[in-house]
Amino acid sequence: MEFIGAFIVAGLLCVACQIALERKVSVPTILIVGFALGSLMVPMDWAAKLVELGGAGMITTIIDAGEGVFYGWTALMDGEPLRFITFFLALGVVSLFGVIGGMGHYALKKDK
Amino acid sequence: MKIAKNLVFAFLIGGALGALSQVFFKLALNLLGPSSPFICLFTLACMGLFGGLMYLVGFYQKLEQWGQFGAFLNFSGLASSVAMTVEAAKVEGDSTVKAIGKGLKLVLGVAGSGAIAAIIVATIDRILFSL
Repeated sequence: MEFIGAFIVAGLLCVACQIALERKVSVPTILIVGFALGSLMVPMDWAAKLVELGGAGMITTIIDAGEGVFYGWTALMDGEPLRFITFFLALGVVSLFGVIGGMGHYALKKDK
Repeated sequence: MKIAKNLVFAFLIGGALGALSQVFFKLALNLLGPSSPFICLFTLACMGLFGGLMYLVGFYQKLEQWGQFGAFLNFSGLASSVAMTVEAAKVEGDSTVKAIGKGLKLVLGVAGSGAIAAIIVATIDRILFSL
């Protein structure tokens, strides 16, 4: 059941962003607005409801990154920096895998 | 008709990546325990690894072509976007350091702007909550 929830929530969020893309909004703009909207959804309790429904299908979207920074910053203001640091660590690790993927693909293509 | 097709593919590919994330999330829960503060870090790192590896073998580019935002929105899409930027910079003849810098600039552009907005919202919420 949780996999179906993840599938549906992640799929619907992608459809919402795809609609914006079809209306000629640029990809970086959609991602930045999505990130910001994710943080706006926290005080309204929508983010928690979407995570409850979609689990990791919601957590691993850029939209939920806004929620991550919101809670991280709130915890930091309370003197607990771990959550804030963990989020940016995750961002660093994902970027590192991206760099490895890009360099690797370039090297493979160059060899051919 | 083309728009409808794009929306369906975005839903299917985005949903499939969401379900895959749930697999990694369950794996993290089992490996680290439910009280670990690193469950999200592990799940996001796994999706980043998936995105980077799939880009390396040339599959993620196809996913992005078919699913567009279905493939962009997940953290695996962020890894793929970095990979694409780094590769494009290398093809243009940039040095490795400069290419990596361009990739990181992309992440900072998206995550930095989004994070600033999220920090402002969290601060306002805290101020309003404490009143």
